[in-house]
Amino acid sequence: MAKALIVGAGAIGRGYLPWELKSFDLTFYDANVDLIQRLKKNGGYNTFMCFDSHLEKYHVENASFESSIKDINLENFDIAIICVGPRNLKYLPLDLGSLKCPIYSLENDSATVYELRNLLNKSNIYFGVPDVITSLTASPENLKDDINSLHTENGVLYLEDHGDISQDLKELMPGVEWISKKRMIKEWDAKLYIHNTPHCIAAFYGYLNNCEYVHDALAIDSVKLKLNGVVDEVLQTLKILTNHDHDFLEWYAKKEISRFSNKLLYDPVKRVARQPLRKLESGGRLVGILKLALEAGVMPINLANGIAASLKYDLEEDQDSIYLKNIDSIGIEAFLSFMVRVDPSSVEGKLIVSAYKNFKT
Amino acid sequence: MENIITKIAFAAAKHLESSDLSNDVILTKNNNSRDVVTSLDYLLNNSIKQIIEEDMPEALILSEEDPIDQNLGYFKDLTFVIDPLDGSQNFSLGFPFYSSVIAAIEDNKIIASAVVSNFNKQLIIWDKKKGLKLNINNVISERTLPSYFAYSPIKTSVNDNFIFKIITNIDEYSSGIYRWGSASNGLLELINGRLQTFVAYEIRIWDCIAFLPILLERKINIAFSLNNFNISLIASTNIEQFESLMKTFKSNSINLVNYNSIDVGIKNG
Repeated sequence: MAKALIVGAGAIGRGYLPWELKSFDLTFYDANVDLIQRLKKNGGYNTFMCFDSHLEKYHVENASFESSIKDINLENFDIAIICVGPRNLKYLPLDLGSLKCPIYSLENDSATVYELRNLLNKSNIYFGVPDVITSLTASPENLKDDINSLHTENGVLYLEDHGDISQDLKELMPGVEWISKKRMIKEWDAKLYIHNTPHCIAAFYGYLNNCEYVHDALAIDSVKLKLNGVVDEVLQTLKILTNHDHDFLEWYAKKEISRFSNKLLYDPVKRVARQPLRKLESGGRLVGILKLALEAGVMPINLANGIAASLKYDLEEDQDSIYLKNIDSIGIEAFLSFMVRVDPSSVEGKLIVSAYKNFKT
Repeated sequence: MENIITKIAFAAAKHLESSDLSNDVILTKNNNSRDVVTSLDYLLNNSIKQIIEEDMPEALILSEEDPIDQNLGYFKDLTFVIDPLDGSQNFSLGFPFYSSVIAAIEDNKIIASAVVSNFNKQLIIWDKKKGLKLNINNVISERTLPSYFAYSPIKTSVNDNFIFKIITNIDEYSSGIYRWGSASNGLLELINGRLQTFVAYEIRIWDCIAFLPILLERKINIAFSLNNFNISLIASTNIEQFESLMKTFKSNSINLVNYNSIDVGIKNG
């Protein structure tokens, strides 16, 4: 049987990928020793996929779980997929460089491919986009059966094909869309801006409205209205600035709000909102699209309010809370300058400053 | 410690961002026209000290703007080493190269540090437990790059022959000397990958001690020597130049210690 290595047993790694890799013996590597011990002890776990209004269960048991890379024979894998979170790449064991198979980075940032190539001194590392929402947890009743279970959408996995992926490997993954770099750019624009942008903004509003799950936030009319505004601004921007087919963009945008509203997902607000400073990076899903909107002549009022909401995300347990809870001591202008790298006197800077100062939950 | 070092860095960033203070020179120190003090030095010094005094009143403070009390147990006891405004002369001249530099030392080890630079709005926070947070990416260049040479405005034991040897080394191994009139900006450009080496000879401790763990985390070779609150330092991405400079210092009876771990002691000789 073919073998796949999944590096990172989080939401995507544990919840979604096994559905696409049913023809493989799976090995999960994760530095979280407690999680790996639990998975080992239970001999697997459950992942539930949403199909319309019902969930389908998949018990993953054809797998081994390891927290030490030394316990894994890296010689014989057919594919390896990395999904540990962009900030954790630097902690990956360098031993992964000895993998012979292609490696895919599903890290929501195509620059991570170059970071990984440098880190692992390996060239056949490519980008992938999992167009899917996967929760890191599950409904209370499913957690009762299995504490490690989680829920996922029925999504699509796009993997870059540079011509060196064998037909045999492709046939083992019939659900995967193997696409060119050019098409990946289109899918990535759609995913990053039409999906990730309103998704994280929904979570920030959810936090500010004391919601536990993203679907709870979408049940609030005022939040839904703001998110529709965000999607409209993103859609108009991409239509003006990109050559992507307008029908494709509209099709993609139309399904987004209903995806976030899916009550079967149990997607925690704190998972989707986590590390807001990473989401605020200058070319990214918040500030990046705000700048593009201005470039396109679209007035990004809802995007600016979404960024203001992200700056209010100060959940104590989040990695970035130390910075966000001290935002008033630095002042919003200096925070933008030093922490977000946006000039507060620029048009986008002024919009964000104004939205932040006038922000009402 | 992470919270207080963040608050200090943020207070410095706020004043560096918004300062509309006069850049007139208020005072010239040590009988040296290079060693100037401006209103921004005092504003930053007071703001940073206020945070420390409120949050950790037991901590000692060793600041460029305050007298040193030789009777205190600096470094053994928790000590904040502050250069509120490194590059005061640049600020007074209207040049953008000035920064705030802060280190926390306890049990003779650096436990936290922060660097906030006006130029390019760079901010680095390092904490022993949480590691490095910085808004810059260091790039290791394959090219031969310039080196920075910092020396104190205060009279040192410097001799012309030693200075000549350092300049000769810089000419031999790198593409010339760059100086911005601020040691911290030199060190930042080393981290930014625009310089290959930083050499300091008997500059004040607050100018650069905060950088040691930051440079270490960026895998830059470091060696230093501390004497009467003055520090000599080599930091380099070029191992041949680093080793050659080590020999040059040794030949002048200055034995530098490699800073290859955050457990290396910071002791005032």
